[in-house]
Amino acid sequence: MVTYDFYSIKDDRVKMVTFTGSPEVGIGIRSKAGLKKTTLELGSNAAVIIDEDVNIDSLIKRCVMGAFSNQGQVCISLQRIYVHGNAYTQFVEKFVAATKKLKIGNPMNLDTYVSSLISERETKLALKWIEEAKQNHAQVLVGGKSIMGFLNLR
Amino acid sequence: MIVNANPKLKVSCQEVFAPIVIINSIASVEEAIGYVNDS
Repeated sequence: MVTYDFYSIKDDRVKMVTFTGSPEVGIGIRSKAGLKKTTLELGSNAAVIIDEDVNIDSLIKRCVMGAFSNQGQVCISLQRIYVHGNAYTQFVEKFVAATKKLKIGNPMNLDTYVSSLISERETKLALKWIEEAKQNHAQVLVGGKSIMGFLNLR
Repeated sequence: MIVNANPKLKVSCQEVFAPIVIINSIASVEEAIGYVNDS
Protein backbone atom coordinates (compact mmCIF):
# COMPACT_ATOMS: atom_id res chain seq x y z
CA MET A 1 0.00 0.00 0.00
CA VAL A 2 1.50 3.29 -1.09
CA THR A 3 0.50 6.41 0.73
CA TYR A 4 1.24 9.73 -0.90
CA ASP A 5 1.35 11.40 2.48
CA PHE A 6 4.95 10.26 2.77
CA TYR A 7 6.95 12.97 4.45
CA SER A 8 9.57 12.87 1.71
CA ILE A 9 7.15 14.13 -0.92
CA LYS A 10 6.83 17.41 0.93
CA ASP A 11 10.43 17.61 2.15
CA ASP A 12 12.39 20.35 0.34
CA ARG A 13 15.57 18.24 0.39
CA VAL A 14 13.96 15.79 -2.03
CA LYS A 15 14.34 17.12 -5.56
CA MET A 16 12.42 14.55 -7.53
CA VAL A 17 9.65 12.01 -7.00
CA THR A 18 8.95 9.08 -9.31
CA PHE A 19 5.92 6.86 -8.97
CA THR A 20 4.49 3.91 -10.91
CA GLY A 21 0.91 2.96 -10.12
CA SER A 22 -2.64 4.19 -10.20
CA PRO A 23 -3.76 7.58 -11.56
CA GLU A 24 -5.46 8.38 -8.23
CA VAL A 25 -2.22 8.10 -6.26
CA GLY A 26 -0.27 9.83 -9.02
CA ILE A 27 -2.55 12.86 -8.96
CA GLY A 28 -2.23 12.97 -5.17
CA ILE A 29 1.56 12.94 -5.39
CA ARG A 30 1.58 15.63 -8.06
CA SER A 31 -0.62 17.89 -5.97
CA LYS A 32 1.68 17.59 -2.95
CA ALA A 33 5.04 17.67 -4.68
CA GLY A 34 5.16 21.45 -5.03
CA LEU A 35 8.00 22.54 -7.31
CA LYS A 36 9.70 19.13 -7.32
CA LYS A 37 10.16 17.26 -10.56
CA THR A 38 7.70 14.40 -10.75
CA THR A 39 7.73 11.42 -13.08
CA LEU A 40 4.50 9.48 -13.06
CA GLU A 41 3.86 6.18 -14.84
CA LEU A 42 0.12 5.74 -14.49
CA GLY A 43 -0.75 3.13 -17.06
CA SER A 44 -1.33 3.48 -20.76
CA ASN A 45 -2.12 1.77 -24.00
CA ALA A 46 0.84 2.92 -26.06
CA ALA A 47 0.35 3.30 -29.80
CA VAL A 48 2.48 3.72 -32.92
CA ILE A 49 1.17 5.23 -36.14
CA ILE A 50 2.86 4.17 -39.39
CA ASP A 51 2.23 6.21 -42.53
CA GLU A 52 2.29 4.80 -46.08
CA ASP A 53 5.59 6.22 -47.29
CA VAL A 54 7.98 4.77 -44.72
CA ASN A 55 10.54 1.97 -44.89
CA ILE A 56 8.69 -0.93 -43.25
CA ASP A 57 11.79 -3.09 -42.77
CA SER A 58 13.41 -0.46 -40.57
CA LEU A 59 10.40 -0.49 -38.21
CA ILE A 60 9.66 -4.18 -37.75
CA LYS A 61 12.43 -5.00 -35.29
CA ARG A 62 11.71 -1.94 -33.18
CA CYS A 63 7.98 -2.64 -33.06
CA VAL A 64 8.43 -6.34 -32.21
CA MET A 65 10.84 -5.39 -29.42
CA GLY A 66 8.47 -2.69 -28.14
CA ALA A 67 5.57 -5.12 -28.03
CA PHE A 68 7.23 -8.24 -26.63
CA SER A 69 10.25 -7.24 -24.52
CA ASN A 70 9.78 -8.58 -20.99
CA GLN A 71 6.66 -10.36 -22.28
CA GLY A 72 5.01 -6.96 -22.75
CA GLN A 73 5.11 -6.37 -19.01
CA VAL A 74 6.42 -2.83 -19.27
CA CYS A 75 4.30 0.25 -18.73
CA ILE A 76 5.36 1.70 -22.08
CA SER A 77 4.98 -1.54 -24.01
CA LEU A 78 3.66 -1.14 -27.51
CA GLN A 79 0.04 -2.27 -27.56
CA ARG A 80 -1.44 -0.76 -30.70
CA ILE A 81 -0.03 -0.28 -34.19
CA TYR A 82 -2.02 1.72 -36.73
CA VAL A 83 -0.69 1.20 -40.23
CA HIS A 84 -1.77 3.07 -43.36
CA GLY A 85 -3.86 0.84 -45.63
CA ASN A 86 -1.27 1.01 -48.42
CA ALA A 87 1.44 -0.45 -46.19
CA TYR A 88 -0.77 -2.61 -44.00
CA THR A 89 -0.52 -6.06 -45.64
CA GLN A 90 3.24 -5.82 -45.99
CA PHE A 91 3.67 -4.66 -42.40
CA VAL A 92 1.46 -7.42 -40.96
CA GLU A 93 3.24 -10.16 -42.94
CA LYS A 94 6.66 -9.00 -41.80
CA PHE A 95 5.57 -8.45 -38.21
CA VAL A 96 4.11 -11.97 -38.00
CA ALA A 97 7.26 -13.49 -39.51
CA ALA A 98 9.51 -11.61 -37.06
CA THR A 99 7.30 -12.55 -34.10
CA LYS A 100 7.45 -16.25 -35.02
CA LYS A 101 11.22 -16.08 -34.84
CA LEU A 102 11.27 -14.95 -31.20
CA LYS A 103 12.72 -17.59 -28.94
CA ILE A 104 10.28 -18.72 -26.28
CA GLY A 105 11.41 -20.62 -23.24
CA ASN A 106 13.12 -20.66 -19.89
CA PRO A 107 13.89 -17.11 -18.70
CA MET A 108 17.20 -18.34 -17.27
CA ASN A 109 18.50 -19.08 -20.76
CA LEU A 110 20.28 -16.11 -22.28
CA ASP A 111 18.83 -16.68 -25.74
CA THR A 112 15.21 -16.70 -24.50
CA TYR A 113 13.29 -13.65 -25.64
CA VAL A 114 9.78 -14.39 -24.39
CA SER A 115 8.88 -16.38 -21.31
CA SER A 116 5.99 -16.77 -18.87
CA LEU A 117 4.10 -13.84 -17.38
CA ILE A 118 4.57 -12.79 -13.77
CA SER A 119 1.71 -14.98 -12.52
CA GLU A 120 -0.94 -17.46 -13.60
CA ARG A 121 -3.57 -14.85 -12.80
CA GLU A 122 -2.07 -12.39 -15.32
CA THR A 123 -1.86 -15.12 -17.95
CA LYS A 124 -5.54 -15.97 -17.47
CA LEU A 125 -6.47 -12.29 -17.68
CA ALA A 126 -4.53 -11.86 -20.93
CA LEU A 127 -6.22 -14.95 -22.41
CA LYS A 128 -9.61 -13.59 -21.37
CA TRP A 129 -8.96 -10.31 -23.18
CA ILE A 130 -7.77 -12.19 -26.28
CA GLU A 131 -10.96 -14.26 -26.16
CA GLU A 132 -13.05 -11.08 -25.94
CA ALA A 133 -11.28 -9.76 -29.04
CA LYS A 134 -11.93 -13.00 -30.95
CA GLN A 135 -15.62 -12.94 -30.06
CA ASN A 136 -15.82 -9.42 -31.46
CA HIS A 137 -14.56 -10.24 -34.96
CA ALA A 138 -10.86 -9.64 -34.36
CA GLN A 139 -8.44 -12.25 -35.69
CA VAL A 140 -5.42 -13.62 -33.89
CA LEU A 141 -2.73 -14.08 -36.55
CA VAL A 142 -0.01 -15.40 -34.29
CA GLY A 143 -0.03 -16.65 -30.69
CA GLY A 144 -3.08 -16.21 -28.51
CA LYS A 145 -2.97 -19.60 -26.83
CA SER A 146 -1.62 -20.78 -23.52
CA ILE A 147 0.83 -23.66 -23.63
CA MET A 148 2.05 -24.88 -20.24
CA GLY A 149 1.24 -21.51 -18.71
CA PHE A 150 3.00 -19.54 -21.42
CA LEU A 151 1.23 -17.12 -23.69
CA ASN A 152 2.59 -18.69 -26.81
CA LEU A 153 3.67 -16.53 -29.73
CA ARG A 154 3.65 -19.29 -32.33
CA MET B 1 -0.83 -10.48 -32.46
CA ILE B 2 -4.36 -9.42 -33.26
CA VAL B 3 -5.85 -7.65 -36.29
CA ASN B 4 -9.20 -5.93 -36.79
CA ALA B 5 -9.67 -5.23 -33.10
CA ASN B 6 -12.37 -2.65 -32.53
CA PRO B 7 -11.59 0.36 -30.32
CA LYS B 8 -13.91 -0.71 -27.51
CA LEU B 9 -12.08 -3.96 -26.75
CA LYS B 10 -9.96 -4.18 -23.62
CA VAL B 11 -6.91 -4.99 -25.75
CA SER B 12 -7.54 -1.71 -27.58
CA CYS B 13 -8.11 0.67 -24.71
CA GLN B 14 -6.92 -0.83 -21.40
CA GLU B 15 -3.38 -1.39 -20.21
CA VAL B 16 -2.37 -4.88 -21.30
CA PHE B 17 0.51 -6.18 -19.22
CA ALA B 18 1.20 -9.09 -21.54
CA PRO B 19 2.70 -9.88 -24.95
CA ILE B 20 -0.37 -8.76 -26.88
CA VAL B 21 -0.33 -6.20 -29.68
CA ILE B 22 -3.05 -5.17 -32.11
CA ILE B 23 -2.41 -3.99 -35.65
CA ASN B 24 -5.17 -2.11 -37.43
CA SER B 25 -5.39 -0.56 -40.88
CA ILE B 26 -6.08 3.15 -41.19
CA ALA B 27 -6.94 5.42 -44.10
CA SER B 28 -4.95 8.38 -42.77
CA VAL B 29 -2.71 9.45 -39.92
CA GLU B 30 -5.50 11.75 -38.74
CA GLU B 31 -7.82 8.75 -38.34
CA ALA B 32 -5.21 6.98 -36.19
CA ILE B 33 -4.69 10.06 -34.02
CA GLY B 34 -8.42 10.01 -33.40
CA TYR B 35 -8.25 6.40 -32.12
CA VAL B 36 -5.22 7.13 -29.96
CA ASN B 37 -6.81 10.16 -28.34
CA ASP B 38 -10.08 8.36 -27.82
CA SER B 39 -8.80 5.81 -25.30
